[in-house]
Amino acid sequence: MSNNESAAVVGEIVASDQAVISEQYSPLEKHIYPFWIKMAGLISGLLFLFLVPRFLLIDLPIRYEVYQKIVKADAFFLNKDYSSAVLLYEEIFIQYPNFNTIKLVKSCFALSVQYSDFYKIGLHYLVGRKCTDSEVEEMQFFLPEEYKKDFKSQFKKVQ
Amino acid sequence: MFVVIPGELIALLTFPGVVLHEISHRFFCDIQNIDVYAINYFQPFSKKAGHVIYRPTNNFFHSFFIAIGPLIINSLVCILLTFPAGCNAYLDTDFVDYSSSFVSLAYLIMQWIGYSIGFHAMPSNKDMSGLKTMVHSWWARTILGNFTGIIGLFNITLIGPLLRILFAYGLSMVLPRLFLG
Repeated sequence: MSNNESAAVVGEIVASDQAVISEQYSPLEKHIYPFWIKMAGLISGLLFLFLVPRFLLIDLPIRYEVYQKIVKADAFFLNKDYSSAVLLYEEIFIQYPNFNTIKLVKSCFALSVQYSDFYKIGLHYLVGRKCTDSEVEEMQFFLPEEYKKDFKSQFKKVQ
Repeated sequence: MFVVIPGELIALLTFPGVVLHEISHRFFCDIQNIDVYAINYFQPFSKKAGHVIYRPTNNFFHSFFIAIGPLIINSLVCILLTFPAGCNAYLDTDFVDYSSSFVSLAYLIMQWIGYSIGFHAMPSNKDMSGLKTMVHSWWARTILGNFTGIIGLFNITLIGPLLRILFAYGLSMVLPRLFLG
């Protein structure tokens, strides 16, 4: 094996010399595998048969419904229909608290131009969340100028 | 800064893939009626994680399918086992978590087996090396050379593991793209 190969990452096949082989080995029976491989195959098969139908029948419809809601909310967001976007994002957040609220916050901040309460609602959705610098910048982009100073100070608190 | 993870450790963490890799070689030997003399499905902490010793054949297609057996079988198994994980990644709905801890653990185990198998889908350079001497026309050599070269990228120490991870991830996206895309 040459130096630039990743050693031991994969196994190898060796087509050895016929004469040498026939002296040392007798051929293995075809399609006969060790017991532990059969058991591992059986367990993997059972795991697959239990989980994939469960995923298709229970998990996937729920996830797909959530996905469609996000797509719809994103479309509202892109069309600057922030109030509709907030409603949908909120619905998802209430159902699944681990939902990334950044877009919800951005929509709230965009609405705070007309309704000042939405600034505080937006901040509320940031409590306990860790945001990257780029996310903070994105949120600030939607924030009216008068809140930016407060946001910077508040943001440190909510972190 | 790069951190090179030893191949032995990678093989240990992804051993289901190594085992299926060797089974795939053996399976193609068996169905093509080529004698297999010895097989090591997995050897932990070894430079050679596994190997298959089989009767040499002059038939190019036999050798070719034995060599690329893992690419076919590991890829198919990876596609199936990573289907739920692939859907979650494709739909970006990882935050939707309501399953019991037992079911979540079962998903996690299946995901680990699936990605491990996908990681080891690529034949090694050694697997492909014998094929070059079996083709004589320039165009066949060119095609095989390019194919072997692409596979060789997956066996380079620094970028190989990363490419393998991307390949396994790509495989996990096949069914979600077909059914949800």
